[in-house]
Amino acid sequence: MSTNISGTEVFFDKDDIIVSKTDLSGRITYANQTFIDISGYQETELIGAPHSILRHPDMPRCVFKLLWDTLQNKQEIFAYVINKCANGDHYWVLAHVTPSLDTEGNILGYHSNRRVPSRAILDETIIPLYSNLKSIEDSHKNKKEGLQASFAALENLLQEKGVTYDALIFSL
Amino acid sequence: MMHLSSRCKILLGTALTFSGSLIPFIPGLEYFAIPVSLIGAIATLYFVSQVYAKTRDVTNLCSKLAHGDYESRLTMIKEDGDISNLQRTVNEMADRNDAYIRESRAVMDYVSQNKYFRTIHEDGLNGSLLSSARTINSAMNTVRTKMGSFSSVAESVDHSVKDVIHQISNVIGVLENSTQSLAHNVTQASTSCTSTTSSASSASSNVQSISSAAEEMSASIAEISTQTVHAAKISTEANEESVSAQETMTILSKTVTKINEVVSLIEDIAEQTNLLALNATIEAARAGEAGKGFAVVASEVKELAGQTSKATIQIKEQILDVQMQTEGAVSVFQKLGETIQHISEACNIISAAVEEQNAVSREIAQNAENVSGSTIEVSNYVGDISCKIRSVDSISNEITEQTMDLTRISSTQLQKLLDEMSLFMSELKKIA
Repeated sequence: MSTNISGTEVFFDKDDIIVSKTDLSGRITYANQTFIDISGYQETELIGAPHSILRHPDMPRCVFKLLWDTLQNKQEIFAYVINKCANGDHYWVLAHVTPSLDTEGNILGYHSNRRVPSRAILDETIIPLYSNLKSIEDSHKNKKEGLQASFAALENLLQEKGVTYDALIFSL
Repeated sequence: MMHLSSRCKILLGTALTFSGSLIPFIPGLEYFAIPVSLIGAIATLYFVSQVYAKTRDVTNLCSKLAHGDYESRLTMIKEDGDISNLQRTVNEMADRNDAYIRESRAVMDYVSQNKYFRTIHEDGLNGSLLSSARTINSAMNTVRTKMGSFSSVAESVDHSVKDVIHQISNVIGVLENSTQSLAHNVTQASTSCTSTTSSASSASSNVQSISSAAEEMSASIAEISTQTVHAAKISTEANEESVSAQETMTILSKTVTKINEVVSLIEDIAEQTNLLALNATIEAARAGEAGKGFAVVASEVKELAGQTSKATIQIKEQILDVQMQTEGAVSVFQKLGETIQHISEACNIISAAVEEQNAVSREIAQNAENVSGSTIEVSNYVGDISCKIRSVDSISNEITEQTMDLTRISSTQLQKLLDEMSLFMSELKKIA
């Protein structure tokens, strides 16, 4: 597993979906072929690994906090995510993460469908937003305080626009 | 490590078995024939069993999928070949169906929460899934548009009704204030009228007192005038009497002077008589004894002359006293005359002033009479106003009662209407 960042962006086909499933603790239980192909990891490396194996340093942590908070409420979430490949390359996805529920409504695990995001949305909205949130996080020495500050900034942004997160994402 | 496909592995095992069967025909290698064939056969059996195992896994997964369980997938696909292709294809089929199911369920969840912005992501869906997703999305767009316009119409109706209700409420509020203010003003006007009436009647009685006081004053002045004229007359008479007294005094003075003259004459006579008595005494002495009787008479005459002289001195003293008293009386009468003159002049001034005062007090009395008439008129007018105000007061009380009724009715009715409207709107919002 490489921690080097190459700066090279890689892409997947618009008709393809990157699919993964995780257990309740976020460990990967399934990775489809598109995922294996683009991530550059062997299936054996992915299965059982935490999903954070793909975490790119440009990704603000507050987005993951929002993601996990939403999933805990048994709700779906859409998030633009930059992922890191095994070789340090990266790829952008629009992740649709849903909890898998049993017939009684208990969470069995999580399922993520990741699609090709709109380049315009990435360039005009998401990359500047994430850069801002990330710099807020980095401005705090204490990681927890940084996360609180960037999460508050994200909530403020939604409050200013007067929309919920999901409505905002769908309005893009 | 290179992954060979299951088919290759089975072919290799079969080939090994087959080669083992050919080995006895090769000289020198007869002894290897059985072991090679055996290894080939075992390998073939192992690989075939692996294929069966994977096929069973695929069958199991398909069975789960057939029963609607999309949680499982085939993992650890290690090789490239027909079996792994089968495995990946089944996974892909499951993934795409799963994606469609999750998307469409999410859209329906949003609809159940009255949210219409969520549509199915069509990327990654194809064929029937894609066309089905498009149908759902198109339906969602229609629903969103209809709900949007329905919602905006309902909001607009809600706003209009609330506006109207608030306007009515406001108007009623204003009306209530106005009637309260009217009632207050009427009460104040009534109070003012009452106090004006009492002021007017007080003014009237004051004016009447002034009038009667002026009349009394006029009478007093007339009395003063009469008395002054009387005083003037008396002082004139006194003056005349004083002049007459002065004249009397002058006459008295002259008479006294004449008496004085007479007394002087008597004095002279007494002196001559004394001289004559002296002469007679001398002559008697000369006559000797004959003259002795005569001498006695002469001595008595001398004594009488002396007594006369003493009496005249006393008379003179008394005349002097009378003269002094008379002169004092004359000067007193002169002063009295002057004083009476002053009194007379003062009486004339008083008379003129009293005349003027009389004119003024008559004017005051006349004016007071006029004012009295006016205050009575004011009093009458105020009485009229008071009467009208009472009538306005009773009308304003009626209006107030009606407004209160209106307020009571409208507040309950309007609140009821508002509540119903809110209920209606919340029901609508549940639908929209």
